[in-house]
Order: sequence, then C-alpha cells, then structure tokens
Amino acid sequence: MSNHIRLLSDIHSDEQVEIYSIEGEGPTQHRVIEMGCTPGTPIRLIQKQAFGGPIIAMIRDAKIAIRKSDAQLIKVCS
Amino acid sequence: MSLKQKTILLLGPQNTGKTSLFNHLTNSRFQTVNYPGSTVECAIGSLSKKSTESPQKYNIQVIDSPGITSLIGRSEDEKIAISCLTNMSKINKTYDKNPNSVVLVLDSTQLACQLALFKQLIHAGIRPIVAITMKDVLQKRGLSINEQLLKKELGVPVILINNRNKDGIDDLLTSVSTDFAIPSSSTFNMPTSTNVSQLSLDFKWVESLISKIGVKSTSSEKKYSWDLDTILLHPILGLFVFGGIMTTLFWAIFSLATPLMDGIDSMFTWLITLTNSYVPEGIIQTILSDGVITSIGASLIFVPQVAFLFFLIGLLESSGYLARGAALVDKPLSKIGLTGRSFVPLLSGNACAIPAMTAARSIPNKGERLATIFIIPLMVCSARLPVFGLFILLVLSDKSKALGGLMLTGIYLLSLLIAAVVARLLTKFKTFQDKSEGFVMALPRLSMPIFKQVFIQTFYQTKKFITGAGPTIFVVGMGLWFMSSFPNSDHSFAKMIGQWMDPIWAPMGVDWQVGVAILLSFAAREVFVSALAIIFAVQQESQSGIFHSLSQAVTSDGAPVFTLPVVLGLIIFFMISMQCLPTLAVAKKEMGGWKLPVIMTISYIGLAYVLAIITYQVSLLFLA
Repeated sequence: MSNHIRLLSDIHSDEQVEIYSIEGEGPTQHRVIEMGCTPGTPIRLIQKQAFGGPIIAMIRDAKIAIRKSDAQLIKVCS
Repeated sequence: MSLKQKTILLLGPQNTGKTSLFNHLTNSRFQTVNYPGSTVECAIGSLSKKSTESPQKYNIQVIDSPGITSLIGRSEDEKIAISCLTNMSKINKTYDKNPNSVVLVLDSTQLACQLALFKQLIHAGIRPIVAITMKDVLQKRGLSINEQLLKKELGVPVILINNRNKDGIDDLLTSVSTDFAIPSSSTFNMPTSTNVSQLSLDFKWVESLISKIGVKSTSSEKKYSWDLDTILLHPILGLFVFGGIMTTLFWAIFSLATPLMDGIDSMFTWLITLTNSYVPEGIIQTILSDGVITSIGASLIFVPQVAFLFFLIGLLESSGYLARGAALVDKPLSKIGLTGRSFVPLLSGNACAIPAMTAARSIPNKGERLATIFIIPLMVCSARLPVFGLFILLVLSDKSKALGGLMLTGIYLLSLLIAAVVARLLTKFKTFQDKSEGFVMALPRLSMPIFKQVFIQTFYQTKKFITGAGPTIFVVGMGLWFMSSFPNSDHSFAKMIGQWMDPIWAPMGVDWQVGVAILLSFAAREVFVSALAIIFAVQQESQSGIFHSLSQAVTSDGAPVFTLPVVLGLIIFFMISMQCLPTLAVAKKEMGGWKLPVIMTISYIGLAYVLAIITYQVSLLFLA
C-alpha cells in the first residue's frame, strides 16, 4: 500500500483503489459504511457523471452512486 | 375455533425481491395498513399455502416491510421496518410482540454487502431465516452457492429462492413452521447508533464467509447488466437515454390511455341514453343521468391514465432504471436543495400527487422530504391533463395536432420551472434546510421486469386511487348538479354564487359560468371539465361535444367566453393552483400537521390568481 492518499472524488474512471478512511461522523458517513465502504475495501470508479454529477462506483459486487461532495468524505489509496 | 395468530416478517435491503416473495406467499391478496403513529404502510396478507408440516394449525400473517440498509432507521420507511421487529403487536393487538418468524431476504448476487445485515440481526439477538433470492441470475452467471455450507456457517436455515418460478417457496414454509414451535423470544437488543468498528468487523466476517462458500464474481466475467450501464450511466449518452425514456413514458400514457378513456366516456354516454329512455322523465331521471352517472363517469375517466403511469413507473422500477434516473438528476436537483432521492416522488407526481407524497417517505432528510411534498402539487398530474387538453383545443381549434403537443410540452416545462423556483425559495426557510444526509444510493442490478408483479402493484395502486379520490369527485359532481338545477335552471344557486363572485373572476377575464366551474374545481380539479359541461348545459359528454359547445359559448352580452387571453390566463391558473382536497388531506398526514399544507394551499392559490391576472392582462395588450 502506497502512502498516496486521495479523495474518492478525485480518482479516474476505471481506477481501482482501496478505501483508506471515512472522514468525520454523520448520517452520510454511516450510510456509506453500512453499504460496505469500510477501510481496506477495494473500490473501483466506474463512471463520473457530466457537470460534476454523482460518481458511480463498484464496491463489494454492488454499484453505488455518490454525490461528488459526499465522495470527498472518502479517502482512498492506491 | 379461532386459530392462534402467527406472524412472519419479511425484512431486507431494497430491491431484493421481498415484495415478489410476499406476493407468492400470500397469493397476491393483501391489504395495506398504516403503522400506528405514522403514515408508513405495511402490506399484510394471510399465508395462502399451508406448509405440510403444520396444516391449519395457525392463522399465519405475512408482513412485507420497506427496504433497509442497516438496523438504524433514518428515513420514515426504514424506521417502520425496524420497529416491526420489536413492536409487531402495535399493528394488531392479537399479534405477539415480536414477529414469530423473521425472514431476511437477500439478493444472491449482492451477498458480499448484504450479509452484514444478517450479522447485525444476530448481534441484536434475532435469529432470522435467510431467504436468498435471484437464484436464476446466479445460475445464469454460472455461479452457485454452497447452501449446506452457508447454513452451517450462519447457523440458521438458508433457502435459495427463484421468484420467477417459485422455486424454494415450499422449503421456506417448512423452515418457517419450525420457527413457530419456538416460543416468541424476549426483548431484542436493538442498536441505537451506527457502531463503525463493529460494522468493519462484520464486513470482514462476510468477506471470509464469501470466500468459503464460493460466490465470487470474477472481474473477467462481463455481465449483461453491467455493460448496459456504460450507456445508461454514460455522462452524455445517459442523459439522452434518460430524455428518451421520459418522453416515451409520457407519450405512451397519452396515446395508450386515450382509446380507453374514450371507451369509458362512450360507455357512460350510452348509460345516460339508456337511463333517459327507460326511466320516465322527471326528477329521478335527471338525478340518475345528470347527477349520478355523470359524476361517476367524471371520476372514472382518469383511471386509465393513472393506471398506465403506475404501470410504466412500475416497469422502470422493477428493471432497476429508476435508481439510475435518480443518480442522473441528482446534480440538477442539488441546485434547488434536493437530491436524486426526490426524483421518484416527483415523477409519480405526474400521475397523482397522493401516491407521490407517500413515495417521499423514502427520503431520509426531513427538510428535503417536506420540500419535495411541497412542490409535488405543482407537477402536471393526470387531473390537470384533461383541463389542459380542453384549453389547448379551445385555443387551437383544429389547426394542428403537432402544435398542441408542443403546447403541452411547454406546459410541462413551465410547471417544472415553477416547481424549481419554489423549491429554491424554500431553501431560505429553516424547516426545509435539514440536509444532514448527502446522496448515497445503491444501484440495483438491471434486470427484466417481472410483469406479473408490476401488474399486481399497478392494480393495488389504481384501486387506491379510485377509492381515495373517487368519492370526492362523485360528491362534488352531485352537489354541482343540485346547485345548477335548483331552484330552477334559469336562476340556480350556482348562478347566484357565480354572479356574486364575479368581481373575483373579472380581472382574469372569466365569465361567471367559468368562475363557478373554477370554484367547484377546488374540490378536485378534474371536476372543472364536467362542471363546464353541466353549467353550459352540454348534452353530449364526449370531449368533442364539450369542445364544440364551449368554443361557441358566449357571455350574456354576446361576446365569446373563451378568447385566447382568457384561456392563457386559465392555463397558468390551473398550472399552479392547489385544487385537490384529497391531496390536502394526504399532505396534512405526511407533513405532520396543518401548518405547512395550509401555507402551501394559500400561497399556490394566491400565486395562481395573481399570475393568471397578469397573463390575461398582458396578453390582452398584445393579442386583442
């Protein structure tokens, strides 16, 4: 695992990374974790919507849509 | 002899096939009941198939619950699903406090994230039966689950189910009946907040379990539905597909429902003719034909349109597309303080505001939910359609059908714009500002819709629409008939009220007859068309009949009633005005009090009135 830590909102399409941490505490963070975004989990960005719309990612065989500002709560590392 | 009541609760994440399973278990015969203290509904039905193990021993009720992500409820829907676990007796006093059997319904292709929910139930002291659906999809992908091993690892019964051919239902019933032998357990230890470290451990456990039992989708395998998403969720193509699907949806509603609506119309015209020829002339005849039959006809004529919209939305939902639509419109909705979660309620609002407001329960943020409910009455609901249809005909006469379609599209777009402006204004108020949870949504697997299930769902929703709004429309129609017929048709109550209220309608350029029709349409706006028909003494009930008589209608001084400026003003009025008593009643329930619905109603009527006057007066300057 490299130390290169980025935000989920900043990675490229089709890039496979690993969740490093979820920043802060709140309903959004809890929902994300309940959906399986726990640290150490591989996550792959599938698509980014136009005009800064939600990003579509694949985690634990499931597809999720996350608003870009909410994806900034998720730190990932490659 | 009364049998002992036993309850089975179906619990699980969204889109796992809970409702399909529920329909199989109850043979699609169920009723929806409000969970006490809330407006959230649970579907309850008697178990239709008796297990061979315990024939007729119990009276078994199956309860379907809204989808959950975890045992912490944030939206109204989730909260109720979770309280069903601990407070089943609240629904019906004859039930035991806890469900006698909990069936956790999971999607076989999504076990890697959904099995964590099983672990949460175990932590809470609940031993569910695990029903794993979509067996067919798994098989299609050439994968299988080692059922025996999974059973051993989980320590509870595990049943694989195929909702398309009912495979596994019998096994499920057998397991459930053994559950009944166990006396209802004591108190469950429900979590009160998300325990992040525990969840991480649970997911670790799921990971190791998955590698043991063998379901692991290999990344090399290209799956049909994942491929389709590269188009459906494509940044540019996706928007075109979305636009195409929405256009097709609304086009289909109009073109498919119209013949049926005409059919209903002619059926009632025939009934009136029949009544008039068999019932001797007099008061009984007029009550029957002008009152009862006309009113019932007016309330039933919208049913095809509403049913089609329910059906098509059902198809989109069942295919998994609606969640994608929500993701696609999240960005524009974020500009007006909403999220993609408001998409489905707003879309349903184009059929009927009542189920749309109910659909808003899945929105976790209270402020966003209230704002969504607030703007739902601005959607072009099916009751507005015939009114606009009539206006368009009056303006265009027979000039061009394409122009009519263009005008209707314009009305839709203008309505969306007004709704957007209102939603934007609402963000200034504290009540609508709770935006604690962002937009994170699971996208269900794309699949062929199960038509039978969609039909059943459509049937129940349509039935609810008829029983909900139908009586109001009927009562108003009868009242109108009475008012316009007594003391006599030349000096009726309706005329007196209309002329008395004339100063109100005059700035809109509206004649007293139209004023009365507007007044009556406050009970339900679809009343407007039939009210005009009754007031202008139109004999034929068909649209063309109404149209011809109305286009020639003149005021007492001989001027035409429906000039272009008048009609434009009326279109604006009907676009904004809140004219539906059943919607108001539902809004009161969903918004938790009278305050917001009253503010909503008054401001929409006021805005509609002012804008209609402006539209009329301005277009007078340019068009007259």
